[in-house]
Amino acid sequence: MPTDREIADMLDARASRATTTGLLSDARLVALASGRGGIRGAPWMFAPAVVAAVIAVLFTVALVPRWDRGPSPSDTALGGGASMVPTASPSRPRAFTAGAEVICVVEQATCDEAVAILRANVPNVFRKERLVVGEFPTGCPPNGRCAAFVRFRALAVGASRGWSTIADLDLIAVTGGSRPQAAQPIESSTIPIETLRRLPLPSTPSPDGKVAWTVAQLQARPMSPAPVELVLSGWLSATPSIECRNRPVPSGQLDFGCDERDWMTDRKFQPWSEGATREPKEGIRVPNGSYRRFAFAPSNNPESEIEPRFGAYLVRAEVGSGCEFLGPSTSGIPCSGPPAWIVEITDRIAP
Amino acid sequence: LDPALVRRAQRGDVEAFTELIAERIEPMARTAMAIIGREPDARDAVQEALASIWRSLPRLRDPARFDAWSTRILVHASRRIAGRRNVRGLRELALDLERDDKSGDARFHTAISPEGEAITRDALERAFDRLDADARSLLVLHHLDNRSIEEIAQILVVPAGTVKSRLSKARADLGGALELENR
Repeated sequence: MPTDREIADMLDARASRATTTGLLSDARLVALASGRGGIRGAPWMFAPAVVAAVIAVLFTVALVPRWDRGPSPSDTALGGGASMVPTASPSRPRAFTAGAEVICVVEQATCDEAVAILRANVPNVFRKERLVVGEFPTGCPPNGRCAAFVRFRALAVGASRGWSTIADLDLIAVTGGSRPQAAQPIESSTIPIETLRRLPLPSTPSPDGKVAWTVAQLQARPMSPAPVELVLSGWLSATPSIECRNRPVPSGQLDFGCDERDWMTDRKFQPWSEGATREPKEGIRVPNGSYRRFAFAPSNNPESEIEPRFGAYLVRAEVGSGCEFLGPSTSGIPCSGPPAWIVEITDRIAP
Repeated sequence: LDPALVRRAQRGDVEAFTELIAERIEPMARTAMAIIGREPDARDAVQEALASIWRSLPRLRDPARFDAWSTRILVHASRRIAGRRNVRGLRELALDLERDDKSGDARFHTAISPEGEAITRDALERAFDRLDADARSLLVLHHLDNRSIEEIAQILVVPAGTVKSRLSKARADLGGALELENR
């Protein structure tokens, strides 16, 4: 039978593994988010915005709530966003456990689409979002189309476990200088989570009318001579760098060289197993370096398995000869292969 | 505890609430961690409890009872999360290793019980994990938080006699679980 001292020592050692980082600030956010103190308790809701915010709340509450929605192979990152079908209102009482500000910037989108974008992205931030309240600034009437870059501001209130991931959320990688002006927090107690880069909408809708395509849908798409730009969601994976004879890719061509394999797949796929490459049953090769450049929080282990990342990516798809994957010919024999979609990721949209 | 601070927090003063809980965060996290045994779940329990405390604060009649009342909420949250974890059948095999400063080797904590048996802290913790969440909560309140039987009775809203008998049973169960671990 353990003694009191032994029990106390064991419990003390067990308790010493507790961490308190961020708990107090979270608690303060909880209090602010639930707004029991009215305007005084929610200082970011300055008076002139309250009326607009209330309207927006009612509007957004009808559209946005979703629970326990994490990315999965069958759940495209933007898949739920395009239908604009309001989801059912929650039947259980809302419990506010944390709050943060999410700032999105969208281009050429209706406010409905802006809400859809937010809705598609919030589950990547919160494990269980409870409510997203939105506030439309001037220039974006509820039924109008935004003429230019419009900032859509929302307060997302969700379960708190996601806070641990917030610190890891980087601003979406921006290429080509199209980054909008960085969003500033309205008030020091709020946390700016993520600024979405400009998202050109509408993109080519998927066969089932959603914003994002699956890999299988893209593979089944009839080939056309003109390149298409679309949103592709799925798992982005890569092998570690593989040593092979260096065959430099001519400038301007996409790199599908033998030193790496990057894939987009509908199902989570690990292309590296015990030092050897594997190929998915269904998947699309994307240029080398795509994972490193576009995956969210890419794992950086040069020698072992790299963790695939789910996301939605803006891609440019063009029909190629099928020889692109073979790299430059060293034998002088011309390549002839069946035409195939050559897919280049140009940006990440979510998360 | 400053009752005026509690009253301000009850009226919706966020700064007062923050001040009120600032010095309680660490003991709360330790209590939750000791009951649950897994850090992310313990954080969840504390955050859930804090949210619940904030929402329910206006209904607290006697500010002087804030400590017992808030501990009750925390223990409930921890029990619920710990219980959920048990249902899922998850059980961590924690290796409670400590680095020996002199040799640099990792070693188990070892204690010698009055019966002369060597009890490793690791085995004791595994045995503790075998207990249900209620028993764990009782042992934590008594042995870690050093709360008296009367205080625990106040927190759990049960008679002191009940606490005494449950505590005794929890300790016996821990002994039984330890035997299982040592087999």
